[in-house]
Amino acid sequence: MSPVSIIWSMIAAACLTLGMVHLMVWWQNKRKTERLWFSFMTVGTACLAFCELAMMKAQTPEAFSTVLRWLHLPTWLIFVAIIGFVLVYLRTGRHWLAASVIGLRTVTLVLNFLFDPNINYREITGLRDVSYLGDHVAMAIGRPNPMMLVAQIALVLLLIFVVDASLKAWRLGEKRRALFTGGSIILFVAMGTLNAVLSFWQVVDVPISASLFFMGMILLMAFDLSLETKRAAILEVELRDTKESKYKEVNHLGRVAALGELSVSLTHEMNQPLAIILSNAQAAQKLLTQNDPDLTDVSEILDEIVNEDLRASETIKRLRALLQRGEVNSQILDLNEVITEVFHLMRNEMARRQVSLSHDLAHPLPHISADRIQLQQVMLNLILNACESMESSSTNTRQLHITTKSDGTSVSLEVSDNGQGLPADVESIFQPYYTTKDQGLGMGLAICRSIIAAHHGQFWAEPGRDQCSATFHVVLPVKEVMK
Amino acid sequence: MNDSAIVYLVDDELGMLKALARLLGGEGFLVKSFDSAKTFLAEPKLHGCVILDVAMPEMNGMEVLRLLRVQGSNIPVIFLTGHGDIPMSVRAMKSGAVDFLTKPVKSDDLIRAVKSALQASAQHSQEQQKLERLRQSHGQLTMREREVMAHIITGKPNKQIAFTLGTTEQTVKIHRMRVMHKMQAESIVDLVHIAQSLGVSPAE
Repeated sequence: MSPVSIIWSMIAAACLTLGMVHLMVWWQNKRKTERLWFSFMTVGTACLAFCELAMMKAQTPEAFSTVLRWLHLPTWLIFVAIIGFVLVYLRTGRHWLAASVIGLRTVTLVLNFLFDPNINYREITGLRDVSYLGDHVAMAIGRPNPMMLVAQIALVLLLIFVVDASLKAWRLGEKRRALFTGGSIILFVAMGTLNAVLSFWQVVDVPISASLFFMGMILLMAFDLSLETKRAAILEVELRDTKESKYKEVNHLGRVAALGELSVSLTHEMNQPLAIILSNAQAAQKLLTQNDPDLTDVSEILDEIVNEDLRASETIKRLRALLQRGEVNSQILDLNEVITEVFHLMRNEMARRQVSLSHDLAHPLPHISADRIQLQQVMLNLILNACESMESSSTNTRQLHITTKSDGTSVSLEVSDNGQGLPADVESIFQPYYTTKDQGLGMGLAICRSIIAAHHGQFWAEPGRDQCSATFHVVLPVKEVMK
Repeated sequence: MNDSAIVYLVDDELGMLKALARLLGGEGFLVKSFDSAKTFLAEPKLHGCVILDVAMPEMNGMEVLRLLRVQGSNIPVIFLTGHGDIPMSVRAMKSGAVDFLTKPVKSDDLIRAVKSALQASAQHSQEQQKLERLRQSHGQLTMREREVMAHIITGKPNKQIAFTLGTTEQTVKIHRMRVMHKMQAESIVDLVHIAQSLGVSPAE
């Protein structure tokens, strides 16, 4: 193969490869239209390269002029793609200039197919052999067609359009884009224009080699776009990190808010063991002042002091876990255990609000893989919401019923109350900032839903049999099923 | 102190109930524990006092006190709460509690409160007993004696009473002596007090 054939084939191949890559980027994210324009540009350049190669290797004037005629089609595509790219990527450029360039180029295309043999030549009388890049190539001998000035004016207008758009982008602070895109288009389009003008007007013995210059432009632009891709990837990672930390923060806030609502009961829960310990200790003191104290009584008292102390420290441990801003920590656990722990924390709150709790927990329940604290948070919110809903309702008996069951592949939890029921638009309660409380954050259920979603589960609410009852459902996959 | 006085403990928390029973038992009080307000209310109350937990699941302490009074029991009540605030203590005292203590409670405070409640209870029951005796005495008076008593407490002299009742002064004198004796009154002033506590109104 001759050197020219090799170079031009490589240009076409490189262009098509780059075009494919950027077309795929566009396919993934349809908003990146600059990638689509860029692929059009590469396709146009590849076609241009084939046309140029065919002309250089033409054997007859007829073959040469036919190819030259069709060469205007990819050229038109390249023009349109450059303008589209500049408008989208630099976000500058005068629309009337863009329209003029495309208009003139379209006129060129029409004229090209009206004139015989084409817009560049009145007639081609023969071919001459020229040496180019260490190869022999064909160039036309004939009378140039003055109508090709239209095409060349379009070229000059394109240059003006790009210079104008780049300057504006530069001033707006988009210096890198202006330099790479504007600079490369201006440099290589100017060189291509010069090459075409000199070649067609037969000033120099150089064949039409526009694709060679366009290739340079495409490479520079591809480099710029890859920088953009890299930056986007970095941004995405950063964004994900912030999102994760925000998610954690909101979860933590939700827990703190829920515990805040429980503060009275939690104080009681802490206070009760202390009160029992004090009374027992003072009873023991009294016992020991007697002449012949009963030591079995004293040891019984000490047992109870130890038990109550352990109970208090258990409460503190649970509270600390809930208040900590910890990492998500998935572990294999029994949903019943999580629920029982929350019952302990909320026992007093339910007593205070005169809510009677009944439960129907399936034993044994298949294990799930989940974050204990987050599930407790969901339970805490559901019970608290139920208590509040029942408090403001007129029903005499406040019944909270909790059920767990499993179908083998998933574990489900139901929390039912006979409070105020649900609004007509049930989904609205899961929206952030939805609240019926005076001082509520309105984040409780929204956070619960995001927690359950993060555990690959489902979370929804259903009205009960009558108007004033509601059931919240949580379904979580069983550990073995989840991959 | 009356030996038959009973301290009734009502708390839903078994640990608390046991600890308080031990503490008060150690001090020599007779203690009866209840972990439910309902069983406590069903129990016939002898004289003594009640230590009532405010926060209980089925019924709170205030409600228990209200029902006690509806039952006609005047037994003194001490409230015990884990989280007492001022509004709650005001409500408790207004509803007739004799004391309001917060957990953890020091044994000295608790014992002092129990003692004064029992004293109040004892005093109350003494008064009750005295009134009961007087009622019985009044019941033993004859119709004529009751008539005379109604006139005596107006402060009228015997002569005038005899005239009003259409009898002799001597007869009125005898009736007066019997009334004073049966009602165990030491003076006219004493008899007036007794009449007041029994709700006997003076004659027109």
